Amino acid sequence: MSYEQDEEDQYAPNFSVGSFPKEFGYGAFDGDGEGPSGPLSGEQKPRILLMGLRRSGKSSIQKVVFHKMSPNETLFLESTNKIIKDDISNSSFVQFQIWDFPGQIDFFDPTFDSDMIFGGCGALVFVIDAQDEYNDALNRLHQTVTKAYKVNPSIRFEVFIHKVDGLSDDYKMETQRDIHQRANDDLADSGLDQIHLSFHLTSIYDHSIFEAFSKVVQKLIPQLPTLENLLNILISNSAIEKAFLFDVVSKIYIATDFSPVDMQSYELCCDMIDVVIDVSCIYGLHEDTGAAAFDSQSSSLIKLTNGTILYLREVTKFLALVCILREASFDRQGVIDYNFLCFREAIQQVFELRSKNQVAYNSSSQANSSAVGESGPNTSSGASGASNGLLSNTAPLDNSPNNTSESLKQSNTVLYPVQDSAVAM
Amino acid sequence: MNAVVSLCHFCELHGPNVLLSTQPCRSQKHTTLKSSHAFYGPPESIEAPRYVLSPPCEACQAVSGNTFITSDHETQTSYVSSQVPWQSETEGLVRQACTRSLSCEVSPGKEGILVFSDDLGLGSSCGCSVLSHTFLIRDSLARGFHRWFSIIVLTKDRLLLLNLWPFLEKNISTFVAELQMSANKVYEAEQVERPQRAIRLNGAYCADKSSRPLSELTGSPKVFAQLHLWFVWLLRNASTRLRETLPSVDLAIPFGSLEECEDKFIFVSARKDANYLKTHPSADNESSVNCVVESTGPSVSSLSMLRTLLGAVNFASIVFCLLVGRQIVVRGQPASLVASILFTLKTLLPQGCVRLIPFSSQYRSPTECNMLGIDARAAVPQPSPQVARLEVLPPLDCETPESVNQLKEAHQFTFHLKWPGQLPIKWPTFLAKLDRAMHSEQLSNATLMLQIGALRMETLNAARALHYVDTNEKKDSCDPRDKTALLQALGVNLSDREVLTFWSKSCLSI
Ligand SMILES: Nc1nc2c(ncn2[C@@H]2O[C@H](COP(=O)(O)OP(=O)(O)OP(=O)(O)O)[C@@H](O)[C@H]2O)c(=O)[nH]1
Ligand SMILES: [Mg+2]
Repeated sequence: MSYEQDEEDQYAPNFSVGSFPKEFGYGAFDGDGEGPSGPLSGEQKPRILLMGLRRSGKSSIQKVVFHKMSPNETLFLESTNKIIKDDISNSSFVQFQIWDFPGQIDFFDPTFDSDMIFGGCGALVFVIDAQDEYNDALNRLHQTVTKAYKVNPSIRFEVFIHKVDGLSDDYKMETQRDIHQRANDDLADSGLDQIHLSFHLTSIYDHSIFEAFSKVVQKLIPQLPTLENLLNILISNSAIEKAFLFDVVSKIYIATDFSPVDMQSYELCCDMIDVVIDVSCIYGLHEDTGAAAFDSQSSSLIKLTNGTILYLREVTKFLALVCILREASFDRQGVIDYNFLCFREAIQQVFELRSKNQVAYNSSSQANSSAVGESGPNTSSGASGASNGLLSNTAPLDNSPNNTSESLKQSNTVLYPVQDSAVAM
Repeated sequence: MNAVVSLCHFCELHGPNVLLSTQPCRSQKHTTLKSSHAFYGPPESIEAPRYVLSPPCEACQAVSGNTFITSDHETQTSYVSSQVPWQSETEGLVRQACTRSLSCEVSPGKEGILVFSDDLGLGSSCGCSVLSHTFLIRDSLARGFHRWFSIIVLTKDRLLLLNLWPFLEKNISTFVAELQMSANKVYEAEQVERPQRAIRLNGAYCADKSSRPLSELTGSPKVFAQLHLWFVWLLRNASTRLRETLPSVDLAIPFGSLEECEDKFIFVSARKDANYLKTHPSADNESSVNCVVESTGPSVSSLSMLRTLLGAVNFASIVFCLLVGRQIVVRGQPASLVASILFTLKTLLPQGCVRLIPFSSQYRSPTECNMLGIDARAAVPQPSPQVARLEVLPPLDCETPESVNQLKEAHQFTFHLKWPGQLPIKWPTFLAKLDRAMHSEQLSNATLMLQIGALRMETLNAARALHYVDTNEKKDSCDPRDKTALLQALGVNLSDREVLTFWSKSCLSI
């Protein structure tokens, strides 16, 4: 139809089948709800971009982390020919879109709309193949970072030094040092030392990629300080050594307590999730009920021979808490379970609130995290302080006065066990 | 056909790249090549084989500077295939289309045909439209065991491309199927010899060695010559099916046969018949009313003249009434002037919408006619929004019918429009464009008629599409959102709806 467009046409002033730069990808037909002015899109999902030279392992990372692909299967992945937008928000807690780019195409070419690509982007993950010669990769990194920064200065830049599985430890360290040095020198040379790059050594053949991705994702979760405080309070009151809040599907942890993470305990916890899911897939699923492998009843306890216990509990549909603790501390399982319930309730409130009202949330989360921060010292100083800590933690999150009084009542009945647990420490 | 047909691929090392482009060349004087073959294109087109790519890779270097030429002596056209078109401007367009066809306008993991174009406005002349067929060729050494290719047809004429879609789709699919078949054979033979899965799992695989040219993948060394011949055939036959011409000013657009046309397209008739009006003023007057049109005396000969006589606003009101199917009554003397006004206005409507009585002694109802000329003495109903009346008044100083008959020029009369209705704030597209075209002094009358012909055709096409959807809507309930989207695609705004309803009712209803 040659219905010539008319500047007076209010209906569709710029309609065309494929508007190259503006709707790069698949434009309005993509169905990913990313319409430029869609009133339904509401809360914009932040994006994580995966960029890097061809064959550096971007698609592999995306498949292994978010689609449970086994690392060997990535040997048969095709070379990516267009931006693959993967919306993982309905299977996991992580409300993100991952965009996997083809390595061969220069997206800073003026034919592409870089505002549209980098505008709403939360983090840019640049993947460098460490098994290969990386001069070109560093040049591309520099180019990408400087140009993306111009479009959107709030992007977080993460550099994955990838495929380190084939490298010796010495060589790994040397490579990281070298890449770190040269990338930052390049930035300094062009007067952009305010740009911060984070470096991670990764491989899809072990848990390092999950660890690294966890860190990337955590930086994009506005509730992170609250979650971390809640975990701190939980572990200090329950004699837990380490606790991770896991996104079950991707096995990335979205928060942990303040104690340092060592790779081994993270791997242990990842493996535990696999075991639980596998076992309940095999024995727990009834075809007629169509139940999920992970639900509110999911919980598991594994005792290791070295006197350590792994304890997993469901927190929300997508989240699980996995704790590592000494066998001796587990004598008081009732206390731990009780504390866990308080913890779960608090978490649920955090996210209920988010879904209720994004704007209201922003202010209250700040209020909340500062409240928790103040109660932190109390927690360690005394038992009753601890219970107050839990309380003060939940109270500011409540919108309705009813709820608050209810949780107050509840907590009164429970003050003793918490005290006990604190004594047991 | 003025188009470029290209084969593109997505190289694992270099991304999207053009492998072969075929385009027709014509020129007045023809050159004789060394090999004593006639060549009709400009000599530059084959002089320097244009081809730059560093670092070269076998897969991207398909024809490596060779040029294929096929000449059609009958039409004096030479078809030239080289890696990229020789004009750098076209080369840019083809490269961009290549990137889009392989890396943007693809449904994930799906092969198939689609058309995309620049968003420079649908009728704009600078944008180009591309029909692209993306497909996979199996390759045991490729990372995903297959590689993406595409055949694209790039033209400046979107309508032509859309009309040719069924033809192109059918034939390109045949080419693709043939390529895929030979590639499958090669692939299977290679897999039997060296099962790739096992090799890769053992770690003895080096992907960067995998960039092989299409000739190797299909096992036919002459595959590019073959493709050249296919593309030439495509270009040549496409032009024998449909040709680009100016739209016709002919009123007698054959509506009846359009309904039967299977592809759901209206074919623009190329017949020119601009004199139709002047030579047969009463040709379509089937009514029994006696027609008293004299060929002499004052008359209105063109729309611009009418517009000058009435003034722009009155003219727009009359045209609006006409387009949306309200009755136009022209009352006055002499009959020739009244009838000529109606005949002039009639050019705006398609044949099916016109029920015209050039001159009658008494009023006829809107069910009988939508354009009526009547005697000055005849009684007429009060003007209403449904009926617009144009009074043709003689100058005050001539009272007698005789003195009126003496007047020779239309501008000696005064014209009064009696229509209580209101023009909508937003004019229908047809009216707005007509107004703009007539407003500009530069358009000659002949050009204006072409513009009107095009406007009529556009509106009719939209009416047709709408009619088609409406009749189907009754049968199976279709999504109203689809309809809104369709209207948007057609560029139909709210004020156009009334026009389209009238047109589809009168021209297309079965
Ligand atoms: N040894 C090792 N190989 C890896 C790792 N990650 C990916 N690979 C391999 O790297 C190759 C390329 O992976 P892809 O993920 O397809 O690369 P890509 O970055 O998406 O490449 P393009 O889509 O072409 O941009 C595959 O053969 C993977 O098996 C890793 O951590 N270690
Ligand atoms: Mg990829």
